[in-house]
Order: sequence, then structure tokens, then C-alpha cells
Amino acid sequence: MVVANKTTGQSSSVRPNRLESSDQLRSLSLSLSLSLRSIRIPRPYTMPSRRRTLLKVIILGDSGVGKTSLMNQYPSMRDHGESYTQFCFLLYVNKKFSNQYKATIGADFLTKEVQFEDRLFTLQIWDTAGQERFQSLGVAFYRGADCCVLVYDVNSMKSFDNLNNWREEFLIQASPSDPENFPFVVIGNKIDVDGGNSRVVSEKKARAWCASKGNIPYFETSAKEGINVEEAFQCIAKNAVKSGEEDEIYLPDVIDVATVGQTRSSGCEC
Amino acid sequence: MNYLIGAFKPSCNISITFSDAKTRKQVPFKKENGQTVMLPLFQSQENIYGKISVEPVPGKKVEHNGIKVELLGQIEMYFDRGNFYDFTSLVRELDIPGEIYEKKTFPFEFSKVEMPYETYNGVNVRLRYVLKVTISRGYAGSIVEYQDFVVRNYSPPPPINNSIKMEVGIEDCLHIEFEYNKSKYHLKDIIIGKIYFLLVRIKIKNMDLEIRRRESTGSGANTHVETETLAKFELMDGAPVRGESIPIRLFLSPYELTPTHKNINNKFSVKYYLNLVLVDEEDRRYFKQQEITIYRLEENSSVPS
Amino acid sequence: MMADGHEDEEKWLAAGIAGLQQNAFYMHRALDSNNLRDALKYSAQMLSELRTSKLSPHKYYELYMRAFDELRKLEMFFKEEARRGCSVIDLYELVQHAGNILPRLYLLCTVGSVYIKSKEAPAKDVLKDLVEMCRGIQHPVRGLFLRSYLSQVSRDKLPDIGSEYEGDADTVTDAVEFVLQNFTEMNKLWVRMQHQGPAREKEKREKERSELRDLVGKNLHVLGQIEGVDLEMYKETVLPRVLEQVVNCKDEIAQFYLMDCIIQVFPDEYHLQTLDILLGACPQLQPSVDIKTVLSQLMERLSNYAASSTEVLPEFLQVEAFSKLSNAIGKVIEAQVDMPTVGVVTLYSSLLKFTLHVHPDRLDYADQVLGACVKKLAGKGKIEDNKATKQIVALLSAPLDKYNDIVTALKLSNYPHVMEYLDNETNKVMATVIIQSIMKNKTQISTAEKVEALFELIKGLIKDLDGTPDDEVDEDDFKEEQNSVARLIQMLCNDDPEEMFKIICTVRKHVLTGGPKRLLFTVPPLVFSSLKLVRQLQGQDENPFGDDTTTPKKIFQLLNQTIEALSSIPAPDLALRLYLQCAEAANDCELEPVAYEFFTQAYILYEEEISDSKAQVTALHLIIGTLQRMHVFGVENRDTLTHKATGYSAKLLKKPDQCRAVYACAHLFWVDDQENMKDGERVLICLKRALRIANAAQQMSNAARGSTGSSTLFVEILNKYLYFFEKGNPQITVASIQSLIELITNEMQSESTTPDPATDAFFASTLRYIQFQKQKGGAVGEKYEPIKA
Repeated sequence: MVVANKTTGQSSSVRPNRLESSDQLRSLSLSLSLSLRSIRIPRPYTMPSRRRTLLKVIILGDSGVGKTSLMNQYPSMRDHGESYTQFCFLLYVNKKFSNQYKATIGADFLTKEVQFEDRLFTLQIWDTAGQERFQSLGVAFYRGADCCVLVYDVNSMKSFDNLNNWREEFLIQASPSDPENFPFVVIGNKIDVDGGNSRVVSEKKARAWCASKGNIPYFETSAKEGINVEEAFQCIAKNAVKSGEEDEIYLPDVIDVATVGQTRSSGCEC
Repeated sequence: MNYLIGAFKPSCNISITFSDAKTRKQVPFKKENGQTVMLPLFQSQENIYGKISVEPVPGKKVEHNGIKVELLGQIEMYFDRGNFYDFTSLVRELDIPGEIYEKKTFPFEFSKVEMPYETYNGVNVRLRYVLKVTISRGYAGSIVEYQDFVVRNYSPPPPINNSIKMEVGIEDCLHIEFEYNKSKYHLKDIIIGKIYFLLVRIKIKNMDLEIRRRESTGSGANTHVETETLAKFELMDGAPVRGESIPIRLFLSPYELTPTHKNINNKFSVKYYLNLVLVDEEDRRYFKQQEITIYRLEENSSVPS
Repeated sequence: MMADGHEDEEKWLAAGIAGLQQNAFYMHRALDSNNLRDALKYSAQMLSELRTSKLSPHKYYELYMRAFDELRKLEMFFKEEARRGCSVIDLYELVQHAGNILPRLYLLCTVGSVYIKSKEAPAKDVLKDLVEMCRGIQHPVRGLFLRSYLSQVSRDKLPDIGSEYEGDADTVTDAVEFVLQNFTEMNKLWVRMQHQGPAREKEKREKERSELRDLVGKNLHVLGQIEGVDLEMYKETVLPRVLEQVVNCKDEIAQFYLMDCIIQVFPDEYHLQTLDILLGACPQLQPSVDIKTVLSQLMERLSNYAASSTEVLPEFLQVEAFSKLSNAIGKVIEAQVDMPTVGVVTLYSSLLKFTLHVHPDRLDYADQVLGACVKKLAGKGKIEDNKATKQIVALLSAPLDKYNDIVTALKLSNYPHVMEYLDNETNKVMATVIIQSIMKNKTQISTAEKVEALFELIKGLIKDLDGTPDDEVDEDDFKEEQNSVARLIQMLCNDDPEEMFKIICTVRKHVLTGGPKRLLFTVPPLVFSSLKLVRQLQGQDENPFGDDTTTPKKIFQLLNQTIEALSSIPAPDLALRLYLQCAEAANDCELEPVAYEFFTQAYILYEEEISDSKAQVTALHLIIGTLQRMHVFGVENRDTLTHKATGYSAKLLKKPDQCRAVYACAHLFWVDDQENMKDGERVLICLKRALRIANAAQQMSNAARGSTGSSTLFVEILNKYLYFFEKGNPQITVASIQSLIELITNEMQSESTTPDPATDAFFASTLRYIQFQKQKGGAVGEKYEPIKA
């Protein structure tokens, strides 16, 4: 049996001819980096980099509060401008809301492109397992998060009470450089259930908690009806963008310019 | 040393140009001194023609016993340095004995030249094509100028190209079956295949596929064999169990291969092998080597897959 | 050793991170200067850090996540390259030139993701190629992470319904096929781990496997999220394929975990519609798999689903969920011969909860479950395993919780049979649970038949099982449980006297078997419960239907016998109190002989059984108090009883007690609202006798201690004088009061008297009372006027 190779077999076209690069540019960025050893620098001084446009968002909360549904209901915005509303609508129609609980295993993310102040960002939204037994590898993925969304079910007091645990656990595990000002967003989901009659956590109570934790923005949503989901994620994106503007820059211990030059000329491994 | 250079400075410049130099493809060629230069590329049966001009140093004349141009195909063995074996030698007389006072240009042409072998730069042997212009002089020695060019010969896809399939093993220890999709590959080809593990009783650490070149020079007692590993391509990481099949997909284009050369003029041969190497946790190596044929595929011809 | 290993691991991780960061740094620079070749070179070097074998899955995950984050940047670069017109196909080839397989495959997956996005090739072809190429990593940890990377980057690019990568009609099939294949390969790697490495590291290996499990399970989550996987596809393809893998891998850890995953990641309605398939797999699992937890989780999920809305219940009926689950459990238990009892009971407990939720009206189902459980328990004798008995309690509590009503549970004929298998201790626990349920829900248990059944259930509390009293029982625990039985007895009632009488008889029958220790607790409530019935009947006409009907007389008869049972303890104090209670009730029923009989019983006890002086005092005052309230007695009977009581009084051990009892007896001759019971003279006799005794008491104390005792008794008697004086007893004269006051005053002023502030205060307030009555004026004032204090 021969392994078929449909995708690559016929490729005989020229490979991208990008092997040479501007030495000037390289040495410039090198000297710049050397002068800025591992310090936090606000955006205008950093070199233009694509990594700034990638934002990481973590959704946390008890099992069954609707984290996965929220993530799924958040439409991506590849098209923006006027056609956007239309596009949004289409997606809601397409993505059937599932009323039934389906556990999440491990961590799962989707990426969505968002436009913010004329810039395009890629939002990496991490949905997590609410059940501890489905989080066997730990939470290394918290690292480098730009925003954390805490979700609870307005019909479950326990899920609200646990927000504090989720928040603290996140701060410990992700250990952001400035925990006091790390952006959280709180979402009270499932406001649609039973016409709001089975609700046990009042908006007032939730807002009070958010206020006590440093004025965390608060949203009440229904992933099922698509209520307020868009607004919540706009806020999440906004906060993530702000947070993402400050970033640690890694610098290697020793930069041997000669070695760099040499390895460069000896060609790539592939 | 200036005076020496001055003393031995040839009294004229010889330049050799190909008529189609502007349109002819050029390829990089590594010279003996390690420098890479661009040389025109030819193939067998092509017409090689152009001009040779001889320009004496101003104020001097060149007195000669005749001028000729030779097209030589040479094989040079490194252990027998300086001894060239010419397997092709064509000569064109350019000028009868006389004197040259000013720049003089001679057209030349070799039609439909038979150049059966490709230019080759190996470990112990070199095969090259060269145009040699000689201005014969009596007492002062001849003035000689060389112009290398490269020859590559293309083949159509082979009409028969069977896969290589084999079951190998060590009894009660390791049984594998491997398969390479072809036995003949062109230089930009892709080796596709798989390894199927029928029995695994050893703890394998990894498995590589190597491309090895075996250059054999000389004959009889003087045979020199040089084997180089041109590619070491990791196929598998970890220990498989019975029933696993591991895919092979190796692109040949990144490697500097030449076509297989079988018995070039009884002087040398170049053969290629695929060597499948399994390494166990105690770093014991288990391998199986299979010869493959490499050929230079005619551009624009499609390969049956 | 362990600590060193851990430290080393930290070091290796740090080194890995450092290497990764360094190469990432150069990769970034290459990306910033659009240098594709360098970007590939450094990314490959960066990824080489993932080739390590030294890290545990947890630590490896940390390293992996860092590489993962870096690869996102590379992916964006590839996207930009593609946007700028660089052929993704070429990129796809280019990354495959890498010599090391692990970096090569990470890069391939990364470009593959861009390749799919570019739509230059059908998503399914790219995915198929990727999942196939990943076979090159046979190292379990590295392979699992690589494939998990593949799963993650392809996650939003699966050709699903409504996805932009939707292809032809087979779109979803392609996506499912891809995920299933990746899942299968990952599971194989995961299972293989178990058999690699030395046997002594089994525990470590299992811990590592446990850490890695979510990487495998994640695929099932992805399948659960694919929109196009409708019920049909789930039933025909997804579930059978997944189960095939689960069953065939023959690995305990994997089977248990994956079954749990299946149950959790797919929706309830799918489970309902595929119960046959899912349950069919259970008996095929390894015998060591904790199947009971798996099935319990399934049933719990379905129970919650049923509880969520009544609208879904028809689904359950339609697929005959109950019988399927029931069968499956039976088969599993049969297949797993060695399943411990706890497993068996847990399964039935879950099934019972399930049927209670889904078929609340089908009590027969619940009974079937209990019956099946009994069958499996048969022959095992009393269950010793702690966990198992706990599960039985859970099993038996389920119907109580569901119906909030033991009455319903009592209809379950197998209920008591299950209880049979409980050891005595747990039997009691269960009995307590039952009683608590009754208390909590104020359940009416209103027929003798039900009471009979109930007492059969709680017999662990009612009597010593096996006939031997358990000496090791904690006293407090015992009290508590018996108190709860007492409360239960009070709860049993029926407005129909006939039935109530039957209930009482039933309770009595059981209670009397309880032995001396329990009777103390159980007889009183039984007596009071009976007296309550008596009170209920007392207004009604006597016996219109002849002797068969319940009459107070009959009840009293029974009571008499009931109280008599206490003699076995013996508990004369208690019995006496109860006799007196009965006598009073008989009095209210105008049953003189009955009342007399009870008094007689009380007197006999007093004379024969109560020997302690303090107890005698208490008992005697009870007798006097009760007798005083009796109106049913004729003169003769009353005289006899009164005479005896006064006689007992005089015979008490201590003088002060005698004195107090005697003046109390004065009340026996003066009953307020009965004119024929106002014998002033005998009242006076009693009081005078009391005075004499008081006097004697004081002298005795004088003799004994050289000082006179307190004058308290005199003050007390003065108060009695005042009482009867006020009631209009003509024998009590102003003069007699006056002289008593003087007597007391003298006594208190006497030097030999020990000063006693309490008595002083008592006397002073008595005098103040006289003063107060005087000032009242009117008839009372006039009456008191002559007394000088």
C-alpha cells in the first residue's frame, strides 16, 4: 500500500525565494533588544510585531453554567462594517443552540477575529472544563492570558459563590504581573431560564461583588437567546486589547552576534 | 613577485564566448578551490559554438605555430592527481601558424556533440567538460585557456518503475515490512512509503531514513569506495508496537543529489541507497539498505505517479 | 530519591523553557524581518525542546503550552505569507524538509491549519494527511501532545455543517472520520504507556496516564461539539466506533475514563436513543473496570434529564429506558462475577433513583429493582462491608426522598427484604432514617396494617435483633434512637377510634418485645397515645354496637396490662405516674371502679416498690395531687384512699417531709367546687397534726444540734391556714391564725433560733400579704381586718 500524497505530490513550482534578508534591519532590532532587557514597555516603543495582535481570553466557571455555549454563540467578525450585522444574524441561525449539557474536556479554544479601533485582532478564546475530573493536566494554558471571563448561572447560587474561587485560582495559576489590575469580566448567564423566575442571584448582588473586586465589568446574558453576548465579548476584547499592550519581552542571556551570523549563513535545517 | 608575474604574463588575452550565452541557462558549479561560479549548461547532442578572440597586449605581437580549440570530456581521479583521462576529445583548428598583431576573433562550432556523461564532482573523482584553446608556440611554450561548462543529461520517466517492497527482520525480535513507492526517483522527487511493524520485541527509540551515496572509483585492487550520508531523515520517534505502520514522505529536493552513474567509462560509478535505520534503547542499530536509481527528469515531462 | 527526581525535573523544565525562549526570540526576529527560512529554522529548533523524555506530563504540558503560544505567531505569519501570495502548498512542502520528525510534524500541523483556511485544498484531504503523518510519533507522551495539537489547530476548521469549510454531502463524515482516527491513535498511545517501562514504576506510570487522559478524552468532546453529528450519525458511526475502540483496547483505566467521557460529552437524548449500544458495551469491558460508577453516572445524568422537564418523559417510555437499564445491570452483574456487593447495590441504587425520577407512578418498577437487588444479595447473609451497607441505606432512602412518604415505600414488598441484609447496626441507621423521614414530612401513618409494616422495618430499634442485647451501644445513641421511636409512636394516629385502637394494639405488641431498657422510652408514649384515644371517646355515647367496639374500658384494661409490663424493669416511679394518669382519665370518663383500680395499683407500687425516701415524697405528692382532683369516687372509696394517703404521709422518713405531706393532705378534704367535699374539721385536724410534727421536728433538730431549726415549716403551715381561712373554712379562726403568727414571731426572736434569712423573708412576705388583703377592703378586707400582724 502506498501512502497517497495528493496534497503535495504535484508541487513542482518554485519555492518562495525569501532566503536573503536585510542585515541592516537585523542588527538594528538586535541592538534595540539588547538595550531593553526584559522590561515592560508600552506599545509605542516596541518593535511592530504580529504577536501583539493575538489576544488570549480564558473562560472560567462551574460546570454547566454555559461557558461552551457562550463561546459558540459569539460570532466571528471576519466581515466588518455594514455587512456585519447581517453576518452575525446568519451565524446565529446556523449555530444551533443546544439546550443540553455537554461536558467540556480539558481546554478548548476557538479563535475569532475582532476589529477594535481600526485594528484587527485575533481573539483566542479558551473554554475550560468546569468539572475538575476533566482537567487532568492542569491549567498551564492560563499563562499569558490577556483577559479572564468568569461565568456563573444566575439560577445557581453555588455557581455564583464559586466565582471567588475561580478568580483566585486564576490569579495564582496564571500569576499575571499585575494581579490587582488584571482584567476580568463577569457574566451572569441563563437569564432566559423559566422567564427569569428561577433566578436566585440578583443583579444587585452580582454587581456588588464585581464592584468589590475592583469594578469588574458585569454582563447578564442568555447564550440561548443570544442576549448581550455580543456586548459582553466586545467588552472582553476591549479589555484584552488594553492588557495585551503591555507584554514581557524575552531576551536571551547571551547574544553572540558572530554565531548568529554564522548559523544564518549555514542555512536552515530543513 | 611582481616582476615574475610581469615576466610570465601572457602576451595576449584569450576569451571564449558561447554564441547563445545570453539565453543559455547557467548553473552553479563548485570549482576546485571551493569557489562557486556560474557556468553554462549543456546536454548531449547539443551544438556548442561561439567565438574565441585573441588579443595581444598592446604593443606586442603573438607569434604562434597554430591555434586550436578542443572540447574535452575528462575524468580526474584524485588519487591520481594531474592525470586526466579524456573520454571525449574533439579538435577544431582555428588558425594556421603566423603572427597576430591585434585582436583577432575565430568562430568555432562543435555540432551535435556526444556527451554521454554528466559533469560530476565527487569525493575521489571529477568529471568535467572543458573547452581548451591552445596557441602553440615553439620556444616560449604554448598559451592555453580553458572554459568549463556543465553537462546534464535528462531522462524521460522510466517506463518501468516498480516499488521496493521487502520484509526483513531478525527472528523473534523484529520483523518489519517496508515499501518505497518506486525504485527510480528523479532529483526533485518524493519518496513515499511506509514501514509496517509485524513483530516488535525490542524497544525501539527511533527510526531514520538515510540517503547514502556510494562513489566507487578505479578498478580491481585499486578500487576506492567512498560512502557519504547525504540525508538523515527521522521517520519515527518512540517505540511502535506490532501492527503500527509509519508513513514515509521524504522530499529529495533539499539534498544535493546527482543522478546515479553506472560505470562511467570503467573509471567510476555513483550509486544511491536508501538506508532504513532503527535504533533501540541501547543504541544498537538495525538497518537495511536498498539501492535506488536517481535520474534527472526532463523538465516539463510529467511523471506517472 | 523522589525529591531529587522532582528537583531534577524542575531543572529540566527550566532548561527546556530557556532553550525554547531563545529560539523563539530568533524566530520572532526572523518573522519581523519576513525571513521565512530563518523562521522555519528557529521554530524547528524551538520545537526540538519538545523532544525531551525527561518531563512528567504535567511539566511537559507547561513546555508544550509555551511552544503552542509561539506557534500561533508562526501560524499568523504563514497566514500573512499566504495572503501575500506565497503558495501554501509550497509552505506545506517546505516544512517537511525538517530532519527531525517532531518539529517537522508540529510545523506541518501549523501550516496545515493555514492550508485549510486558504481553501487551496479540501479540508478533509489536508486533515487526512496530517492525521496520517502523525503516526511517525510513537512515543506516547510526545505523540499524545502532538495529536492534541493537531486536534486543537483543526478544531475550528472541521468541515462541519454551517462551517465555512463545509464540503460536499459527506462533509460531516469527513470531520468525524478525522476525529475518530485521531482519537483511536491517541488512545492506542495512551494504553500502550501502561505496558512500557519497568513493572516497579507501575504506580508512577498510572499517575502519568491519569494526567494525560484529557488529551484523549478531548477528542470525544470535539465529536460532541460537531454540529453535524445528528442522532443518526451518532448512532450509526460515532458511538459504535468509539465503543469499538474502548472495548478493544482492553485497558481498565482507558475503559473507565472513556465511558465516563462518552456519558458526559454527548447529550442526554442521544444516550436515551442509543441505550442498547452503550449498555451493550458494558459487559464487554474488563472485569476490573468500575462499571458501577460508569452506569451510575449514566443513570444519574438521565435522572437529571428526566427531572429537568416532564416533556422529555415520553422519550424515556418510548425507548423503554427502564427495562434496558435494568437488563444491562443484570448482565453486568452476571458478567462480573467478582463484583463486590457494594457495586451491586450501587447499581441498583442508581437504577432505583432513575426509575423514581422517570416513572414516579410506577411503584412496581421500584419494587422490581428492590426485588432484583434482593435476588443478587440472596445467600450472602448479612452484609459486613461498610461501603455496601452505606449503599443499601442510600438505596432504601431513595424512595423516601422521592415520595417524602414512608407510606408509599411501605407498599414496596421487597423493601423489608432488602433490609434483612443489613447488619444490626446499619439496620438501626436505616430505621432512624425512616423515622426521620416521617418526622420531617409529618407523614400520617393511619392504619394498623401500615403500622405493622413500619414496625417490621424499624424492628432494629424496637427490639434486640438476634435476641441478645448489644452491650456496646453508646448510652447517648441509645437514648436518642429510643427517643425517636417515642416520637414516632406519638405520630401514629387515626381519627377513627376503631382503627386507632388497632394501631395501639399493634404498637403495643411490638413495643412490649423491646426489653426493659426500651420500655422506659416506649411505654409512656404508648400510654399517652392511648389516653388520647380515651379522651376522644369520652364524650361519646357508650357502646351502641355491643362489645366489639372500642370503649374506654377496653382501652383502660389494655393500659393496665401495658403499665404492668414496666414491673419487669422495674420502674415503679414511672409506672406509678402512669397509673395516676390513667386514674385521672378514668375519673374523667366517670369510671369509678377503673379509677379505683388504677389507684390501687399505684398504692401497691408505693407500698411495695418505692423505698427511696425522696422517691416516696415525690410519689406521695403525686398521689395526693391526683386524688385531690378525683371526683368520681363515692364517699367510701374516697375515704379509703384518702385515709391511706394521710397514713403514708405520717409514715414518711423525715419530719419535715411528714409535715409537708400532712398539710398537703388537708387539701383532700376541701375541694373548691364540690360542696360535699368540704370537711373543715378534717382540714383543721390535718393542719394541727402538721403543726405538731413541725414542732417535733424543731425539737429534734434542737436536740441534735443545740439550736432550734428554722421556722420555715411554721410559716408554710401559716400559709395553709390563710388559704383555708380565705376559702371560708369555718374551723380556721382569726384566733388560731393570730396565735400561729405570734408563735412564729417568738420563735424567730428566740436566741436559740438559728437565723435564717430565707424564712425571715418568707414570713415577712406572708405578713405583707395579710396586710395587703386587709387593705383590699370589701369582703376579703373585712375578713382579714381582725388579724393583727
